[in-house]
Amino acid sequence: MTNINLSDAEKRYIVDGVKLGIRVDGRESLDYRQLEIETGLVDTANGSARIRLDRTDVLVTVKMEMEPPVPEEPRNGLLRFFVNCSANAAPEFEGRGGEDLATSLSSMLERVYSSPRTLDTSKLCVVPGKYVKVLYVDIEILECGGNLFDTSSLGVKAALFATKMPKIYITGEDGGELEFSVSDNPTDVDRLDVSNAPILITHLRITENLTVVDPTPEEECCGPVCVVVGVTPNGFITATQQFGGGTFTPQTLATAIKSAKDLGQKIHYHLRSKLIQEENNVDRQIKGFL
Amino acid sequence: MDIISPEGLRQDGRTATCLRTISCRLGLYDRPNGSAYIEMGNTKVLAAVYGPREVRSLSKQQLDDCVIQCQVSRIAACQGERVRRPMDPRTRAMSLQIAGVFQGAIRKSKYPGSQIDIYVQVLQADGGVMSACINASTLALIHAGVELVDYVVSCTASMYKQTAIIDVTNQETMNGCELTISLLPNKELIVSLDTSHTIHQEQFEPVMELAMTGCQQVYESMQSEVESYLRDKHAIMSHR
Repeated sequence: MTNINLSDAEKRYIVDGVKLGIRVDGRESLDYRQLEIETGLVDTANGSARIRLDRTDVLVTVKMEMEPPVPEEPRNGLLRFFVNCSANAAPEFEGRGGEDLATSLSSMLERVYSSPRTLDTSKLCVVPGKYVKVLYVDIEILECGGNLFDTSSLGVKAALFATKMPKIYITGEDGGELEFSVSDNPTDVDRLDVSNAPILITHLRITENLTVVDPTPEEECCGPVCVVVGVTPNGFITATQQFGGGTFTPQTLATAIKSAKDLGQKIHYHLRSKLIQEENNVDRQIKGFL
Repeated sequence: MDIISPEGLRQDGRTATCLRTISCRLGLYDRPNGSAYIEMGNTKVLAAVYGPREVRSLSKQQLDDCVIQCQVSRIAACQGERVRRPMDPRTRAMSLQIAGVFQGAIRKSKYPGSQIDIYVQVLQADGGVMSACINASTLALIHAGVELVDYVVSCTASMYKQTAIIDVTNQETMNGCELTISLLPNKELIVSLDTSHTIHQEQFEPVMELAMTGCQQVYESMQSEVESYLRDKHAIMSHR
């Protein structure tokens, strides 16, 4: 995804290491790097989360707005994803350089969340047919250190978990138009049920039938193709997509998807327990970027 | 609502000549040559510097001079209302202005034929955004090891009913002018000065003087952070 120049010798080193079951940083093929998550950094947003996966840094913010619904689904709220690859992540993202990556990431997240099993959007309805809550999820890529898809999806799930939407009350009707009052009380909020929200797991095929999870930028240069799988906590696969100019044999793809499902469920469990632990920590000091 | 209450306090409890709390940090990221983060009250800005490096487009290369470019971008949630376009014309104008500020502060003769890029990300905007961007860029350039003539520090000030107020928030500048000044503190030279809205000629001098004293205070905070960073990295060997 980012332009790193590796010599042939370095590529051979990485590939041969994977064949022996060892990666350059000592991980096994299904190990993730160290993950740090913090929610609630941005006060101006309804929900926010910052995720650091080694050198990849992503900031996700969620803002709620009220808009008319889509005509085909008058009782369902909407979830909109926008990705911005900032120029400080990689110099090639300057100006409009990061648009391709941003488009593929946002469309993947939209597909993964499009299934009604993932998020119950009927809870986001305010007045059926007239007003629904639209959640704008903005993903800011601050540093690109490999494996953007997984990191962004973890950030989205954490930010949605931490989202607090003020309750909206209908106070009256004035000439056909409804009047609303938005609650000022910070504890009078609605929360989202993200128990079924999916995350993405990236499997990069390095050579023949061997895949690795959570690739570093150097490994991404060596692998011809990767498959991104969206997994829910129940083990359902909501979307898959292949990226890169390469091919998979059917067996490799099936093994990759199965291991992504198992790995995904484990990650979901740990993520949820950590998010609940963070929320219950009453004296939490928000560290932010300092 | 009054910006200054009858007791002389502003909405966040400060007096007219009190700056907001400044916290900064150098060296957050590894990929850029230099990176820094600054918080001035609720305004939070991240800056990254790439360079000096080879010029990206040969048509812009100047063999006896250094090309300095800046790009400022705001995240969607930086204000109360969601920002739909991270780079609108006003932000782009700010980028050009900041590049101009550093044209005067970077020792360009040391980097002929090269390019230095400054990328600034506004995470939260609550008044004094341009100041915070300039301060963060200075710290990022210091972290990158780019030679500077001096620190470039910036501060804002305004006037409310005959009282000059320093380091204004968004709410305080709704109906009043916002004067942003950036200067080289040790040489006491002004690098940039711009105001928004109208200000009376007689009120101009006191507001500018107040902003300049504010800059000196910002300089002290930034300098102490840079020194503690260098001490942690064992770059300062001598004792003072």
